Amino acid sequence: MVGKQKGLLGNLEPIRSFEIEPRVGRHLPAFCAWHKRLSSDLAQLEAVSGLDKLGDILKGLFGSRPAAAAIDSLTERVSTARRAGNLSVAPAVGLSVSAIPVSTPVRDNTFYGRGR
Amino acid sequence: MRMSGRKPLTAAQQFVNLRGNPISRGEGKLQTGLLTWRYSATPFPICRDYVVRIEFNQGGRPEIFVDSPDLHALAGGRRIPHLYEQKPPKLCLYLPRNSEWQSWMRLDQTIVPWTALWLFYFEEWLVSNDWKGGGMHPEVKEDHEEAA
Repeated sequence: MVGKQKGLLGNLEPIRSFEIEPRVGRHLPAFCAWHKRLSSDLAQLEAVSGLDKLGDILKGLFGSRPAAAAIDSLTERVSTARRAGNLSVAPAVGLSVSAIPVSTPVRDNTFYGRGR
Repeated sequence: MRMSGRKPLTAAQQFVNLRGNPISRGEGKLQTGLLTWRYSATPFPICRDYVVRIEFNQGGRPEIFVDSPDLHALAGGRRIPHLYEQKPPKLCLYLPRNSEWQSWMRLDQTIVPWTALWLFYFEEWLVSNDWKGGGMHPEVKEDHEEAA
């Protein structure tokens, strides 16, 4: 609302409409394009199936290093829980680092065979 | 195979346990001393769904295959680590001489969780080209010589 306010805010200068609208108007198309892209990227993230696919999307969004760091952080959580004996497998979830009823603990194992 | 003194589980007992555990829900076939079990595995909430097949001959060691999706297509021609055989992909889940798996152990409590773990590290390897699940790397010339 434009106009002189009385009371608590009575001493503040009102913001006149022409001071806001040109600025908003100028940035609105860019904001809408950004919002559209963000919504599309978030929808992709939600539907992603595969750590490698997640890596690709994150790489496109944030660049190679942040994407690698995000995947590394996820892997490290699983590996840390595995070393501590806190990893389990839950139905419809898969590996879980938190206690879930009807989950099956992951016992110690050593993968065998060629590492590469 | 080192024996612990505990009684080995029969193929029928393994079949019942696999069928009863919600993490290995699927279907299978049980013949005299021979078990085939196929189930869907999602190693992590953002991972793919895999169709895993366990073959178990009573008195022997279980063999674990990934029937779909095609791991080699996902790997894009790279040699996949920790497989006894590349085609079809037969997973190396444990060190035989360490007795990590013994015949008295339940497949649904050992092989099934290890398969989820293998698949998780496989997907991570697709991104990083670095196997982060650890393991032993024997010096051998051919794949079939590695098989336990």
